[in-house]
Amino acid sequence: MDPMERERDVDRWLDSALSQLGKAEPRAGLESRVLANLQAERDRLASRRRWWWAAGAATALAAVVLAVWVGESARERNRGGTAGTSTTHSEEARRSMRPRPAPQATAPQVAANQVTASRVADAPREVAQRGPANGPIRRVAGTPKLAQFPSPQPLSEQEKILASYVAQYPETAALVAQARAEALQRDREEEAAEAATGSMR
Amino acid sequence: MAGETIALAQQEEDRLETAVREHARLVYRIAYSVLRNPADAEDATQETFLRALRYGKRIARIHDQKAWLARIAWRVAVQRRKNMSRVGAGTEEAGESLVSPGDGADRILLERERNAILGRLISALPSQLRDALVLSTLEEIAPREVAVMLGISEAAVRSRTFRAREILRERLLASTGPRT
Repeated sequence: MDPMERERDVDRWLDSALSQLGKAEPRAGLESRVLANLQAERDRLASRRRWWWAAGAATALAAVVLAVWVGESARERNRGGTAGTSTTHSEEARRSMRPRPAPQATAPQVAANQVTASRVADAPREVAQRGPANGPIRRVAGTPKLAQFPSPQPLSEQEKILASYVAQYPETAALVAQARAEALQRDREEEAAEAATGSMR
Repeated sequence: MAGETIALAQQEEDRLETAVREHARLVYRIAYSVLRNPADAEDATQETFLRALRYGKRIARIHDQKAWLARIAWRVAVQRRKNMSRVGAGTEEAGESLVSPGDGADRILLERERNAILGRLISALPSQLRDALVLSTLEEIAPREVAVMLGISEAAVRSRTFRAREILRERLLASTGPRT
């Protein structure tokens, strides 16, 4: 074959082959297959979205329930703690305030008992403030935290007797109370002096 | 509110369906020009439209859907070609599928042989020349769009296509010369 003719033949063939390359036809129904695949993908995405929504809603609900539960339990604890503390401490205070069997206490005794009771009630606070002579300050027992102060409890029998005595003999009661207060002050000063001497040693 | 959402979703669906009906063939051809295998080209076509589906409502903002889909198809096909190590086998299949029906047996055999050789020669071209050549064979895509897809100038597309064609011509002459 003539070389020129061969080149022309190759050129023609190359043209047609390249144009055929750009005219490749898909199998029939390509569009339908693509659309079906897209629909399947859409359904899959929708179901996944629904699942995420459900999971999100469940998580939010669980968070709300947990928050409510935590809040309620904290409130319960506060309420229970306050009630328990007040009961325990007030019972203790009342017990310490009451001299064992003293149905017919005299006025000075009553006043003295009252002062003693107040000292007992103050005792934890004092211990907490002073602590052991050479050691660090240590809190032995905390003051009860009452929801309402003063406590709304009714007066005890002894307090009623004291109140009636004060009402009947106000001057005597005042004198007795003043004497006891001075004695108490003296005691405190002595204790403070002893503590200072001990710490200096 | 819910009705509006459903209407928007329906619009989006319609838009994509229209795109499939109008451009699926072009997408297939782009994929085929790169992969040279009908099954792989169809898979790439499916993947192209799945990627388009992920664009959701943003499809409405695309001005030239044809060019946009062509770019996605090109990227998908090139990625697939990188992932596949069986380009040679695909070329053989491409050679068979490009033979025109109705020719004589000798002619068909000769065409198949030449197409297989052409496929191998195209695969052996440098990627820059090959990409410009295969995209230029697609009638639906203008040289300007090819330039955008490849990120080069229109003149560079023409120049690369010419060079690729010259190389193919020389190699074909060298390889098929004695038998023709």
